[in-house]
Amino acid sequence: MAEVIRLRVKRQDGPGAAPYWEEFDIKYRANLNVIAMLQDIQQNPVNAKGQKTTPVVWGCNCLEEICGECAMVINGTPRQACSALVDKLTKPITVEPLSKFTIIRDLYIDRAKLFNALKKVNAWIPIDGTYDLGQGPKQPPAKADWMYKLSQCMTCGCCAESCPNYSDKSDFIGPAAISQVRLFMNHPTGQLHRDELVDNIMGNGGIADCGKSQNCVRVCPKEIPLTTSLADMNREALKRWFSRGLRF
Amino acid sequence: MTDQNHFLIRKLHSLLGLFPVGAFFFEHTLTNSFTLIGPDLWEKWCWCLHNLPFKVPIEILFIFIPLAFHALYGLWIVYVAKNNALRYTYWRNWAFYLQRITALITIVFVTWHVWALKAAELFVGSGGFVNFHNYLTSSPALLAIYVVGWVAAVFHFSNGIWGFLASWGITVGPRAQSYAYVACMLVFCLFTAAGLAALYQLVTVSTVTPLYSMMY
Amino acid sequence: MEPRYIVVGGGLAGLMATIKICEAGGSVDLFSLVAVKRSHSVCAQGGINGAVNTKGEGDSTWEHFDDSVYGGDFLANQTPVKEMCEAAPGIIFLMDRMGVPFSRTPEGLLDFRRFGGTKHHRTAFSGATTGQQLIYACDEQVRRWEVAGKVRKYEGWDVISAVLDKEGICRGIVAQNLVTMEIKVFRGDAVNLATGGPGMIYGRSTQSVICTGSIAGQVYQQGAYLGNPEMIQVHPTAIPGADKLRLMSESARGEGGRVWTYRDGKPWYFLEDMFPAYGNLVPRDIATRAIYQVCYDMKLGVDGQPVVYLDLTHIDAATLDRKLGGILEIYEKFIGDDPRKVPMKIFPAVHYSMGGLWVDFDAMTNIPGLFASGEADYQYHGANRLGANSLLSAIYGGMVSGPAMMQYAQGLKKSCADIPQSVFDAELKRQQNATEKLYNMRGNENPYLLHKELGEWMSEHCTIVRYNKNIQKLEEHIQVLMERYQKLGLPDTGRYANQSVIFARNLWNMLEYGRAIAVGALNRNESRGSHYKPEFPERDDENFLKTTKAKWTPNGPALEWEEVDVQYIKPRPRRYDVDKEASK
Repeated sequence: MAEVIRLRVKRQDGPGAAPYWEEFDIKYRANLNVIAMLQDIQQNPVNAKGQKTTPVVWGCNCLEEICGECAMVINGTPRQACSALVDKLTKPITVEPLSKFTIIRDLYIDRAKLFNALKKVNAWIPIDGTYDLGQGPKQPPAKADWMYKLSQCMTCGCCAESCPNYSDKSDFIGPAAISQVRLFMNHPTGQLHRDELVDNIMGNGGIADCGKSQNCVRVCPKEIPLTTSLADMNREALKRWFSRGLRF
Repeated sequence: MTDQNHFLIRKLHSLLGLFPVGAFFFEHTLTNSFTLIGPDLWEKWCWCLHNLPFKVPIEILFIFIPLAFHALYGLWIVYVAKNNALRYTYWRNWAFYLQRITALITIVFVTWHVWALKAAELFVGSGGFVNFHNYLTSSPALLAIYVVGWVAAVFHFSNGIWGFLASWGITVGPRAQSYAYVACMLVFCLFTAAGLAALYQLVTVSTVTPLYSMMY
Repeated sequence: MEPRYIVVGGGLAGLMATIKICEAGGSVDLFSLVAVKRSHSVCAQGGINGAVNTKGEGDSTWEHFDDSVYGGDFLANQTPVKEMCEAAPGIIFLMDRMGVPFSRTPEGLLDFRRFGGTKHHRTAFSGATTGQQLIYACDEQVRRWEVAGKVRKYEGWDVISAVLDKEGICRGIVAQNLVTMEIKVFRGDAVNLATGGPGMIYGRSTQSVICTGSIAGQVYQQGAYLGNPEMIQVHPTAIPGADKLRLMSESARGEGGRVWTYRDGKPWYFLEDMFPAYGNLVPRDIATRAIYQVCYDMKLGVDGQPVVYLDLTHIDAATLDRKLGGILEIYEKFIGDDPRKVPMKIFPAVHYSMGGLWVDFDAMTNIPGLFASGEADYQYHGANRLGANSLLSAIYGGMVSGPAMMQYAQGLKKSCADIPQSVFDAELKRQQNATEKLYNMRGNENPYLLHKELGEWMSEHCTIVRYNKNIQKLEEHIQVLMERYQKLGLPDTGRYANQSVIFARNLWNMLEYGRAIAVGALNRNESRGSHYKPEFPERDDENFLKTTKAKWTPNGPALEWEEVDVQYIKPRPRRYDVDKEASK
């Protein structure tokens, strides 16, 4: 293992500013990941040419691949920087910001779009209140297990980043929000509202805008069966459309 | 998202690709394949088709309008995509990209194909096997365009069936989808072979043996 | 005029407080450094405690209360703990109704598992990421209130300070936008700091990057007391990483994991050797101390490093996958080795702060109008927290503080709208000037390196085993760091999305908070819960059954002591070598 690892960072001083590449040499040590490399730059902001520079700006929080904050494109693939181990990456390592969102600075991005999608699709259980209303509804254990799988979505944006239909040119809300609708409409309480939940994803930017490139399921760091969710919601939407169409 | 027509339009686009556009494509392939049995039979079958009752309304209603809608709205779909097959080199993503590329090729090819043959029909008179043979062998470039156009259309058709099955929620799980894909690729091979064989026949056979003599 | 409510922090406590206020008709300005969904609560793995007694074990909320108080070595005020334990089953049912995919029994009911410090199946769980699932449910409800227009989110804001009026009442906050760097003042009748723990003071810990304790450290400098700041829980098994120490759940030991290191070239199962009765299943603090002793006192860490092995390789892979699948994946993902084949390398890591902002039973700090809840407060865990009680205390804390804020604000004679603008302008100006000063610092100290040094010192001298001599040295060194802080030079002087400025400001608050931890530890001459001094190995109820209250002064923390509410359960020695009943 080489002593020094070359890191290429795609930097940008602000939204709309021209991006540029800057390279850094980071001293190798065991269990090094991309976050620790960026931290090294904070402590010694000098690039590979030996020039003083500013620390790279990026977002991160839990460093356990569960908060979704540190998603970036590493060696061409969108993923969480915390779980990107240097030992497992080809060198030199390149990191870029997720390109489908507003770039604030360097690798730091604004993902409000993803959360707005969750608002649009009403991704929640409409409980009556937080008062003591007794036990929740019974649920089959196996169903709880697969709902848990869907519920692990951390809104990191990797699926949207890889989706060719998710861009400025289209209103597509992306795979994550649609998968959340599937989660909620399968909950016993959500089931009471399944028609409205499905209606929410039948308009512009909804389920019909999926182009089935299936990149989402490949890049999802939580291995959520996104394409199954998409196909399943296609089915639900069609059922809903027919039932609505034949009852007018 | 209250725009409920959006769903209708998208699903209509998907449906029309299969019925009747796909169905017509199937019929067309079958028709071409008559060349394999005998040019004379092909000519007779073509004569029947050309003299179908209500031919013009059928053509307009079941072929032209659906095809035009599928093609025009499809152009919008092609425009909206930001293709990234070079970055995400998974096969499904390539298929997504090829679906759009073949869409463009097919639109150009079909427009030209229809225009050229209809014009020929109008100004020169009916096609006929020998005429068509002469036409196809007149230039290797022309033949090449036919081969490319055909393969593109077949890919768009067979990959489109896979897409239809997924976006109509018929194949939901990853395994169902991959089995469906194998089936669709068989369709691709079959149709490609059928079409190319017909072309081969048209290029290599230059005389029409009367059907009557073949039967005895 | 409608009262205005400010909640700082979007973890479980902050979100639950927000929901409670909205539900009762109020509207909330919710501040968070990151999108609230990404708060540190996501990191909790094990589960949430509540005595539902579905396994025929005769469990009760009283048993839960007793376990919690006993586990906390009697330092927690008993009234709030009792109320929390009584509310726990209802909280679990509520979270279930909110859509948390809890693991279930064949009958479709909630399943419960056993956790440390109890004999009952009392912990509801959702796979290996219960905290994530709980906060997602709350995040969704808050989004619902946001759509309804009751919540305004300020995500990507660093709250800098509280605005106090002439009478010392909290009237709002000053906050800085992380992107535009704009500093603004926000009026509020009640402010709730649900800002989490101070793990970053220790450099690397199991806590998230935003868990700096900065705003707690700031309001401490503005007059709020810190309660029991010295009570820091160290988790025995964490995976050392270059950037963070990641938790390796205790269930690895529970399922038969063996802890060992090499001695004279041969494996030494030191926990089994030292504690023949309990072996690898000794409680957290005991295991932590033993590993520390082996690595530092005996210098027997693997390859001379401060790590030992946690070994599961003697258990067959199928069993491991069934029982520990999710947890083993974490190790595989971050270390790259397969724990089914290779022993895991682990070391204890700072995990949780039982101490925090001092609050009364209504979650209000000694500054009127300033509340605290969740890990940021000191209320529910005494000297040691039981596993799976943290998610409970975070949610319960929000359930108490939200309504308490409303009650307080509705009883105010003067609302924040009646306070002259000059009060707000003054605090705004003060913070703008302080930030401007940071921008202009041109020394040669790098704030990130200074922080690293603080973390190393804190970790070495004020975690598992505490010697007064060393704590003294630490406290002096923090003052050295404070002097060196004056010679900071920011590596980035830009006026847009400048993370160095934010970090440098937080670093000062970490230094102040760290000093309070050190002084609190120095003055508690006993061993209680997570606080262990070999010079004073016994618990000393006569002198130290008291809450440490640290008050900021320019010359360092001044300590006061407050009696602990022990009205329900008489303190008794805490022993895990015999059943709890035997110790009564």
